[in-house]
Amino acid sequence: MEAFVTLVVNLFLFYLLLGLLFALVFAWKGAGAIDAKAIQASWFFKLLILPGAMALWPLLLTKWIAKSKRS
Amino acid sequence: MSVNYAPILWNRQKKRYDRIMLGLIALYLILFAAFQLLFRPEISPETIIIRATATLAFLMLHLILMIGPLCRLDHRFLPLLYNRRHLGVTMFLIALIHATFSIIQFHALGDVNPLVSVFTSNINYQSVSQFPFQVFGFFALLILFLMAATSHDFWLDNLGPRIWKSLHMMVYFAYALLVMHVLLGVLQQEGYPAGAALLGVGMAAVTGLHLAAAIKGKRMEDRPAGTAADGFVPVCRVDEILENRAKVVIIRQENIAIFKYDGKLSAVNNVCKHQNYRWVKARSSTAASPAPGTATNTGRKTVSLRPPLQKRSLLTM
Repeated sequence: MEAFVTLVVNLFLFYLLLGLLFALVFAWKGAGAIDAKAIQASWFFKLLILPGAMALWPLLLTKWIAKSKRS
Repeated sequence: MSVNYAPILWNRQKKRYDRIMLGLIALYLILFAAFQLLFRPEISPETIIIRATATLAFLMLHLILMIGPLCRLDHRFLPLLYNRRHLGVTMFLIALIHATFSIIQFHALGDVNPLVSVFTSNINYQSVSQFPFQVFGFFALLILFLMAATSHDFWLDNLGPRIWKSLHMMVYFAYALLVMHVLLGVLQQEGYPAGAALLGVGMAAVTGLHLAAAIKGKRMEDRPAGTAADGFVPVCRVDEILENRAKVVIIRQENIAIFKYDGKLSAVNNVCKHQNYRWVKARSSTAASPAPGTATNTGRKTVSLRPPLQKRSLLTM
């Protein structure tokens, strides 16, 4: 049981680590790319969207790629 | 609407709301700690923090869940709804303090990863009375985190109303998990009957208010049935709508508000953006309509509508 839980927890933490890396790039570039109202938003705003971007990074990455392809 | 997103939308009323909220939170924490020190002086400061933040966050969640139905039952509660978003984020932060202190106190001192320990330190998953209640709290906290993290308007705009609303409706699932967390953890393990009674009162209040609001909403629903040959549905007489007020009707499952102001009538979809309103769908389906706006006032007496609506349908009186 412990080995299984350890695996799941490590996968979860790995997901969050990837999410954190993505979120930093997303807050810097991606948010403005998918939403014009975020282009000149403040650093505090970018800090506020970091946790959500970290958690929902696959969804945002898909949106970002789709938006890039359209433009 | 502003050109750029603001980090936090504060105005005079919201600042006042937040000041009162923070003042009450501080008062609760001080009183809770004082009572604990007075009646149970043997308890450590960490335990006081864990218990104070647990009870406060759970109390705040009850309040958050009750605000919606309270406002539907009595408009005098609307000021509570005004800044519920800040209340929710603050509740999550308090729950996070509770979880952090709990994990440090109960799981961080061994040689197992503290998060793994949450799931494996007690493996009585087959037992009801000894079920590892912290697991419920962990998953509830994840939901509350997702809600708090996506509370900014940026997320509503970019996730879309359907996903955003679905995500935030998970608060009821989080509440159910927390009821189990409290019921199994505090009540069964420590045998605290007053706590069980309080939990029962809380659950009854949340459930009862939601039921009462739903019944009131059902009673107040106006569903005009008659349909003219051209598809227009007579709704009411013009004089039934007070000046600067609205009448709400439901036609073909579409919730519509008809406003009367400045000698005019306007019909708009009565569902907020975050409730997944259907303007876009409505607009496309009426693209070829010969009567955009799909609302009229016949003979200066009767208001008739033909949904789906355009963004706003202006009627002449």
